[in-house]
Amino acid sequence: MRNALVCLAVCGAIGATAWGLASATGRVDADERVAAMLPPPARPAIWDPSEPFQALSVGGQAAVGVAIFGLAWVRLRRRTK
Amino acid sequence: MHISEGFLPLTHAAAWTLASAPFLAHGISKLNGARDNRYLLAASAGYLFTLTALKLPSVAGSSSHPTGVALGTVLAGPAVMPALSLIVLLFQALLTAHGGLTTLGANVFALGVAGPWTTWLLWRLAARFGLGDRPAIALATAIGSLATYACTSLQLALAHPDPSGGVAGAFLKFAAVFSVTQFPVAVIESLFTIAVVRAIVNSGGVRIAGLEAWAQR
Repeated sequence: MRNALVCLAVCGAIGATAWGLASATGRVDADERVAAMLPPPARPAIWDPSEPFQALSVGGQAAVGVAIFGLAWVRLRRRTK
Repeated sequence: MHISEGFLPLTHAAAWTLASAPFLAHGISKLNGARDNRYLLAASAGYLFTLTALKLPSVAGSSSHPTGVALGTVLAGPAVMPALSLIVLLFQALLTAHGGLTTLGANVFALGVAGPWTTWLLWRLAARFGLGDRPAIALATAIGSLATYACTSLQLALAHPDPSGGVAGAFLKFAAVFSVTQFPVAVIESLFTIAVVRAIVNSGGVRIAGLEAWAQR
């Protein structure tokens, strides 16, 4: 139970960090800088989610990534014991 | 390094998709045949998922994310990375508006082929020349990360050549913008990757030729 809570806390912290970095750094992403040097896109995005949704998705992606990594690592350690 | 929707002509997008297809097919077949290593693959995928979500602040008011391909390349080999990259890139194209669906092939080629194979070749070459495992992984990770962005610069340069400098001029222009931001991020990623590889190998669940001895030191 304690390990599960720690795991959830780590996932939440890294997800929140990713969300914060995606939504509030005020910095221009390198991809956006290069995109600004290009002609306008020939086709619109098939689906263009809002900025808050994007930031939330980035945070969710990081949290899911940490959870997958953590579970895999636990299983790797358990397998060798 | 994600090329957004509409920034590549359809012919270029199709060509990069065709170029990625054999690597992707091989990667998926390797995934199916690697059931014994499913936890290593899961760790690699989790690492890739996490690092590509972290937009790190960099120099000159810009930000960028690490590529995260080095861990999977070292643990599972470069062949599986196109398949893992496809999962991440699809997630990002659909949910974070990062990348695009028609540019998926080009992005898979940069993140799943160019980066991992550069990392793997440099890691093996550096180890063969006796550089030591930690410097070899650090160098391979950093250069592999930069190679991903170099590939993206080439893809954009081929699609949008500079009126005066042509493809080479456009490549230098895009690569210059990317490298300023990506170099510090690549250095951070290389240090972090060393720590994670060391931790995983130390946990005892991994056997990689040449790495066990390093992890015990």
